[in-house]
Amino acid sequence: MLKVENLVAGYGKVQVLQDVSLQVAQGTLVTLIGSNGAGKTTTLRAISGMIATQAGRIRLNGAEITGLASHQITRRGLAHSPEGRRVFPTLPVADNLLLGAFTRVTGSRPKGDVARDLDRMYALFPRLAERRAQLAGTLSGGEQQMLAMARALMLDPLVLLLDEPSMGLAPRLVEEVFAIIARLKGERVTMLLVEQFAAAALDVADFGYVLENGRVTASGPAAALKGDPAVRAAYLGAAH
Amino acid sequence: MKRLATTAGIAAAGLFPFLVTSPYYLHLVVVIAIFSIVTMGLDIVFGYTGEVSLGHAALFGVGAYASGVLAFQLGLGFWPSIPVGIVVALAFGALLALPALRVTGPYLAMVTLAFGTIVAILINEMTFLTNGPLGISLSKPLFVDVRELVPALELSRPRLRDIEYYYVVIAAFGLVVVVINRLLASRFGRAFEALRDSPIASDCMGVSVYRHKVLAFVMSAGFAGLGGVLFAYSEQYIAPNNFSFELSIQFLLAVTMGGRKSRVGPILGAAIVVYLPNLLADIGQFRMVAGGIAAIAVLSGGWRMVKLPEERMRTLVPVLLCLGFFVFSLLLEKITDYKLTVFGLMILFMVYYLPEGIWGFIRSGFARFLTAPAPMAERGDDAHVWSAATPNVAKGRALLEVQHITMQFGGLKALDNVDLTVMPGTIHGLIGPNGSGKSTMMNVLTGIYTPTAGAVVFEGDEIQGRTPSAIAGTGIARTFQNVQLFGELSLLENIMVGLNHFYRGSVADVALASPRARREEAAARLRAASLLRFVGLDALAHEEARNLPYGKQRLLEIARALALDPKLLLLDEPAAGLTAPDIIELIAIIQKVRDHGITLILIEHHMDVVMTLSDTVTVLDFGQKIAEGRPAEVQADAKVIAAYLGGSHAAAA
Repeated sequence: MLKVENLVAGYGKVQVLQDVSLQVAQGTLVTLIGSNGAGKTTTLRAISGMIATQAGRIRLNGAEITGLASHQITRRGLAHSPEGRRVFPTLPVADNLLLGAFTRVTGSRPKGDVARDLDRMYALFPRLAERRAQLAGTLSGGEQQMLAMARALMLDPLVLLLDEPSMGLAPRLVEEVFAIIARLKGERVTMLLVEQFAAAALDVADFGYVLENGRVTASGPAAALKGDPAVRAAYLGAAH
Repeated sequence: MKRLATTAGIAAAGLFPFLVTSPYYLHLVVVIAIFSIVTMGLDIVFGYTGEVSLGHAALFGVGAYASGVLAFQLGLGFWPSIPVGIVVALAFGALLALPALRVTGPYLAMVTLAFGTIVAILINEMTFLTNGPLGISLSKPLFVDVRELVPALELSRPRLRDIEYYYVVIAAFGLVVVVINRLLASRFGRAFEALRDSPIASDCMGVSVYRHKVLAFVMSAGFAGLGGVLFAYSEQYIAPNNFSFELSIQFLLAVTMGGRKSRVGPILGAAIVVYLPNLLADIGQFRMVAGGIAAIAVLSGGWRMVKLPEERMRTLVPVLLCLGFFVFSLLLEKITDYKLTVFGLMILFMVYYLPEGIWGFIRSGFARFLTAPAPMAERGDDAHVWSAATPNVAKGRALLEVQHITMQFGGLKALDNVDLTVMPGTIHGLIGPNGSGKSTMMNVLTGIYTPTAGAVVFEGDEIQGRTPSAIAGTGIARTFQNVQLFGELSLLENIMVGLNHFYRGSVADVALASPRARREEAAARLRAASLLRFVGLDALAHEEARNLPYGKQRLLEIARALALDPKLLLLDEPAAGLTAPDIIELIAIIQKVRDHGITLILIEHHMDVVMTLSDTVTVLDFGQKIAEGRPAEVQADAKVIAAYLGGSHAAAA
């Protein structure tokens, strides 16, 4: 569904990604692990067109999306739930969600039933249903994270990129976020996940890639990676 | 390279009156130099602090009229009017900035707009002082009659006067360039950029946003005043309509067109603004310039199209526009009718295609050819990480006591009658669900919020209600949950902003590059480099902070906070977004900070971090304290498990 070949990208003169290749098959959950600064967030930002790529190719559902602007990529069905949440703080929850479906209304993709999907989100995230009229900025951090995920899902995306969904959340909410990710996986949503809790991410994922200094240094089924002693030592830490 | 350019510039400026004998061009250069003084000063406000002033023409006029009134009413000449003009402009600048910059937003622009209008009217109406619409005539002084010293020199008296005045203006211009360069390279320049990038972090680093914004505006007003005095004597006649609102716009345009945040940009801009009316009056010259621009566009655009084939279309449009402009200039019979149209088209073109101004465009174009000079290696060492052996705090009694704090936002009580006691030398963990009031507590402690009720006692003094920069000065430093770095400053400079409290040198010290100013700057650099080394970021000292990955940004924030030499350090989720090995490194750094005698409050969701480090843990839920005690006690508390920890962590405990 998503295929990245030999991607090179960075910010200004700093080249963060040296050579990244990965693929995400339809209906699977793939996770990207690595230390801070390895290029996990940069990979997601390059895929969704938020930063320019310097070399390499990105294909979504067989069509090349390399070099397109981020709104064009969104229109083709790639949703990105960014690091640090970034909800629209002065709009109510419901409007935040409807904005997620914006390109379905104006774009060329099938419109489907936006109202039905809105109900689906409220079913998936009951907390958001309780707060549908509240301004997003007044939600707690955990609720904002759920809103960001739900907003991305409202695109009815072919692929969902999730960047650090558990960042800054209380332990109890971290469990909740992972439970939701598992449910989405059950619904066969195609996802690429970047997570600080690498061990938990590998538990829920089908397949994993290890990123080191902007290069993919290892990959394999998630369970195999989790058992790999080198990966355990470098990324899963003594605590896990 | 830079030295060579400077020497060549000085030589050219020195020889200019003898190479170009036309008094018209001599005068033109004088006016460009004067306008440059104003635009470089305006750039301090507009480019560095990011505020917009629409009143610089009025400040310029205030300087000019100060010298006019001195001459007209008191018969005083050129030299006394220089200090008087500057001081009067400084005073007006302060008068404007003090109230206008209290609030954030576009208020400075509005206030300066009103000021400009009022000044123009007052000059017109106060005939007893300013001679009203008739204006004031002055005469250019002859400083030294060189002909008496060198009789061989064959110059008429007016010509000699013009040449001497030219040198005086060029000297003033050179002096202004040097002084502004020094000011902006100093802690003041760093403070101006810091407050633009993150006002909240500036305040919490003890750099008062308000005071530094006022300082920037007042400095800028002084330069406008100096320009005004020079202008009055260069024109030898001033009238109210010289200093209209349009001139303010022209100053702003000059800075924008030339390129902000540089000296060259505002000078280029001033040259364009001064020369443009002449250019637009002469069709022959206009065609030549349009042709020149088209040639440059074709050459640089063509090169770009070869180098970056994928952006071919984006490059082609401005090149075609430039060519079209040249054709338009050839078709025109008379230019005078189209003056304003051409001016407007130029502005549109600039905004669309040269957003960084002409100098910004040239700089980024040449950056591909020139490798930046290798920045000075920063040598930090272990000896300069800390300023004193240990922070001087009284042992045995609480360092911080929060007494019955309530913080109410509308109907919501974010903190509800919370007590907190932090003993010196300890690490105090603060945990709780998202939205339970932890970050609100941080903001109350650092003065960003004034609590609705209750007291915050730090070392025996009540500090609630003080400004964030004052509280930072008493020894409370912090990091931010959503990282607040000064993005366009380098890592080293970020830390040097935190060291602002350590400087004693004044603006005058910096302007004169006094030994004290140099000594302090060198000491601050060493300290900053040592702090960078302490958090393991010394290899990236000259990288812009915004280019750092997230986890490293958090470490930089800790180093910057340590630069304040705090007694109490508040860390707001330092481990958020860090992977397991980085967390181990972070824990080591926090332990070293504690071992140095700095007391810490730690907000964190990573239980392994909190439970490893904390001596005491306080748990908040819905703004109320639900538990407090040693880590193991808190972890076993049923209320804490239900509200916060959830299943797996309780099992682990």
